[in-house]
Amino acid sequence: MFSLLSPVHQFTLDITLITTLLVVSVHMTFRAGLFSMAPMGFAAIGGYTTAVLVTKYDWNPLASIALAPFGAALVAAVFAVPVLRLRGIYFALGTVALAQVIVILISNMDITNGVFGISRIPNVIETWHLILLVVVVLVFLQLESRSYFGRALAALRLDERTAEGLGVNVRWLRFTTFVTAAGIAGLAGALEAHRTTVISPGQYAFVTLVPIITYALVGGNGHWLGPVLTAWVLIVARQQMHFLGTTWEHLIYGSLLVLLMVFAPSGLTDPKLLRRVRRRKRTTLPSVDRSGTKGQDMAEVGAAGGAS
Amino acid sequence: MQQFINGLALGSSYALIGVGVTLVWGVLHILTFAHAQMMTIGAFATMISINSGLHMLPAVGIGVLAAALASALVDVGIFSQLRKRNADVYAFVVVTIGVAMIIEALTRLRTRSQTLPFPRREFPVQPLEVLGRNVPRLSIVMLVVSLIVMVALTYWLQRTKSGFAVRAVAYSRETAELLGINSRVVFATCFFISGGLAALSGIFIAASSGQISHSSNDPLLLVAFAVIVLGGMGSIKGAIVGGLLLGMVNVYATIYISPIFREAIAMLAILLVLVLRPSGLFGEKETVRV
Repeated sequence: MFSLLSPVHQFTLDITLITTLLVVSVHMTFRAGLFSMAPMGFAAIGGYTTAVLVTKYDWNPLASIALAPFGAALVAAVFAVPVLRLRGIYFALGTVALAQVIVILISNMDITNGVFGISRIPNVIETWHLILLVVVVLVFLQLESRSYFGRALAALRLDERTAEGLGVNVRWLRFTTFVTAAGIAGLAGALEAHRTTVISPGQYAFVTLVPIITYALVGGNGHWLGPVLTAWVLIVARQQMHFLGTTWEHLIYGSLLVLLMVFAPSGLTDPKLLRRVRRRKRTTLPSVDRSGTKGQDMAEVGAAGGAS
Repeated sequence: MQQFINGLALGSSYALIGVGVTLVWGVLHILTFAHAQMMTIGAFATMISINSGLHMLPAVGIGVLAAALASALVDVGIFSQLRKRNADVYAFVVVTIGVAMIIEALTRLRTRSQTLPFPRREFPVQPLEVLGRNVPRLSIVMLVVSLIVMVALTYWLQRTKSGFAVRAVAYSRETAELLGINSRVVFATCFFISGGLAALSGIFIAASSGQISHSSNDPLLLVAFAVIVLGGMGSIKGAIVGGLLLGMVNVYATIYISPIFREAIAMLAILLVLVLRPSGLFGEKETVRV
């Protein structure tokens, strides 16, 4: 079905779909009020689980890919107990440390072949597999946001104490979210291992998480469409900048991040921002300024409308 | 004993990095991802000054000033806009990542992605023999400088009027502004100092390794985070102690346990500290955290 695409484009498409899963993983925890920087650690566990099982123990690739997310989720469940006691930026730093420990341990073990990594992992992943998986995950997210679970999360984001007082089990909610997000990251890692056929600890370094964080945070913590669409647009934009070389790509992308965040500090799906934009549309006639916002605010929205 | 000295030497550079990051976190609640790039700016400005014939000391001064100004400029130009919009901690994370990318790209443009030799002839790099042990002179300078910085910053924050203003803003920006403190000046000052400290550590590290590139300081960002978590975020004394401790742990773990687990032990130490005493060794308890 996708044979019309050149191999390069097909590879880009596949990697974009896998990255989408990682963005979803960051987004899920972020929606629960937790900023996790551990997804690459869980992706490493997923990738290495399937790579070791397939290359060393002759497992069926599909079976081991199916198992990999559970490996990542298990590790997350063990570490969730201490790490989930932290909040805010402390949680973020704790998860950085956790991810680093995982990657360092992997690069020093014999079974994972240390820093050299594992090669010749069979490529069994087709593009339609990935599309199917991404769709399944997104449908799951959509159903979840409409369920008790999603509404409880929304309440938790608004006011943790009130939510707890109204009977929301905050701990259980955060634990489930953290573990599920880790499982999705593990799935992404396993898929990537089979798609690229080579893995090494370096590709799970902290720097590789940085663009994923930016997609998720620019997208905001509202609906999942925000981060997912932001990720796709930004990935395509970065692809288009490739011919300029990494230096210019970084320069432009860095400036873009600064501008986007100054325009929308809580992400592009921030309800306040959307309300402001909607209000702007209603009051297109300059004389009918019902919103009562200052002229400066209007100018901001106008300028940003051009930028996005 | 030699290990102890090596640990102190490594730790003193970590401490200086940590102080710059902890100052910005403690006062402004911004976790900066651009600190390593500020270090690079300082080291580059110093290298360019020395290569154009300047003596070491004025060159270091220029480096420190360049990074301090760059840092203050970023605050006045970008962060003030975010503060105006009541941005949360995470917005600053993305923006500092963006700033870091911009600075790295600019330095890469200048060096064409090459690693350059750092002109360190005039720096005191030769080891000094004390009681039969080799002590790198540069480390002594670094240790002394970081201790002076700690004392000076503590004095400034605890005893002077502008230091009071900084603490007042850290406690509550609104109240401080009602009392007539210009918070914009306070923010810019803190960034100015943080940038200068970054430059100092960047110059020391470039001088002791003898080379510099656009990305040579990147791994130090995680080190900085580790230091401030160990010492307690926002505590200057904590950053110094945390830095020295992390240096020691690194060196001793390399020798007595295994060189390969060196980094893992530092990270495990962070996890342990965060879980057992989230406020760090010297941090004050925060109610928001739990």
